[in-house]
Amino acid sequence: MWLSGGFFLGWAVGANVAATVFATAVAARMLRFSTAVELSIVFIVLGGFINGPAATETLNRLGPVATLPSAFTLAVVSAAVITCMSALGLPVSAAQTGVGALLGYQLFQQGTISTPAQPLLRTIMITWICAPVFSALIAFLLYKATVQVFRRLPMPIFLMDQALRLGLILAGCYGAWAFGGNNLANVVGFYASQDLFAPVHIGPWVISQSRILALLGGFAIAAGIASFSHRVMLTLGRDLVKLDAITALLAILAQALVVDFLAHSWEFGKHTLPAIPISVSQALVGAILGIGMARGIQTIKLKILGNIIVAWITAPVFSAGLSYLLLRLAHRLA
Amino acid sequence: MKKYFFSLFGKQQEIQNKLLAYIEHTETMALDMEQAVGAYLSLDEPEFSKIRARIDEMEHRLDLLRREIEEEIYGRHLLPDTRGDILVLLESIDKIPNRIQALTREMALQRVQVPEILHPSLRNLAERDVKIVQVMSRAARAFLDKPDQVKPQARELSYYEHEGDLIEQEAVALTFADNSLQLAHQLQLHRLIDDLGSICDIAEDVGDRLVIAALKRIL
Repeated sequence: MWLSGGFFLGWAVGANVAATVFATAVAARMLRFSTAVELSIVFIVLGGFINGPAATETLNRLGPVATLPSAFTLAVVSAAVITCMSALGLPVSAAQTGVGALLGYQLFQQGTISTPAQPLLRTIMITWICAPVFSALIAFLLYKATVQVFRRLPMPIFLMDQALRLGLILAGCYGAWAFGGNNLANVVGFYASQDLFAPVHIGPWVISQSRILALLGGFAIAAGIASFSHRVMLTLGRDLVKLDAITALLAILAQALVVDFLAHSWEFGKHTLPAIPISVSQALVGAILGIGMARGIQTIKLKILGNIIVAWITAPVFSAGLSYLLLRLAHRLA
Repeated sequence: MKKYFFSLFGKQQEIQNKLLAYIEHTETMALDMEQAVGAYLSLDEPEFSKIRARIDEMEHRLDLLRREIEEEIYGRHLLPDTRGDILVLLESIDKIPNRIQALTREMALQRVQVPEILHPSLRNLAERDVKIVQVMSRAARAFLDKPDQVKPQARELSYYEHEGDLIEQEAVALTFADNSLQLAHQLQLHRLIDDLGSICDIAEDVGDRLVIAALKRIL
């Protein structure tokens, strides 16, 4: 029963956030919605199963959730904030609502954020700010490189169409894979410290609890994509298609590169950058701005930047506040 | 999935082949128009009627072909950018067969008597029309195959359009200088010359549209 909160969260993420990767292809009517759903599900589940545990571990280090009812509450809060902010048209992130909910939990438990969690929290926040910036930079460079390639190797119009079409599908698959690896933690992270499943032995392989959770989370996201993401895909896709197919392709690719990079932990000399769940929609907006700059469009839309900043602040704050209040209420009623 | 990809790319090849056929038939129609003008000026009525019937049939076939291409384009076969560019190309080229058909129909209906003095100008203008439609076809093929090579073709189109304008002006001047003709006759001839010259203008428009679409494509 307590896992249903995680399923609700997975569903909310699937319905509202995961749609970004195939939005362009579906809105351009070059890929059937059903095919986009199938590809999203396969690659999100695969990416989550293979790469997901790293970011889940990061969230677990930020503040392990002690009881199943608390994990349920945090998952429901996170899902509710995602659903409400998406309805308001803000580029919401499951990572930001998830971390916010965990902070609310720590405030409820300890009245403060624990000292060991503070450096990790700083790293996470800096990464959230840097991710759209890096996404913009990668998109800028990708665009410049693409221009050079097209100038040197002019392509027949139909071949270019085919290449872009295939590129959009492949970039979508990669985006789904990266999304699964990076963002599945937001769905299953609250349950990571619970002892829920015994490891499963299949021949020489042992499937740990974190991978079983990743699979379940992947299926919950799949349910969200299959049931409610069509409208989001069309809305997002139409906005992206206005930019043209090349921009959409490069933006998705740049976003996926950043998201995939942050699905793994990296060693830089003595420093370690842990796998950090980030906002895929904010990385995508960053990439689109990067391409805009590469094209010489000087006017960055302040409204878009404003929305990102609003989401940066409001998502964790709402999540933290709501989880704190609900946990306190539950504690009083118990 | 494999079947899906192959059917998708096969469809694109089919659309391209149909577009190339459309361009080729438009060129053939321009050649027919030149022959029709020759037959009309030589007062070879049976030959003129035969060519006119051929033009009507070709225009009908081109209409059907255009609709087939449009239906396939609106299916799930092309990206929106490509879809838009191909439709612009198709719609702008389509004005040429329509104009050729309208011109020969008017010639048949009005049966305007063309004075000997105008024959060289009208033959020249028809020849320019053929030339400019051929250059326009080259530009359209270049757009499909090598978009970076559309611009030089468009320059050539402008050159021929200018030449066509000069021939047209000269013919109009000769028409109104001939005091033996009645005003109504002069106006009929003016319209015939205008219609014949307008093919050059349409071809130049196609070139301009192709240049814009090609510039957009080469980033």
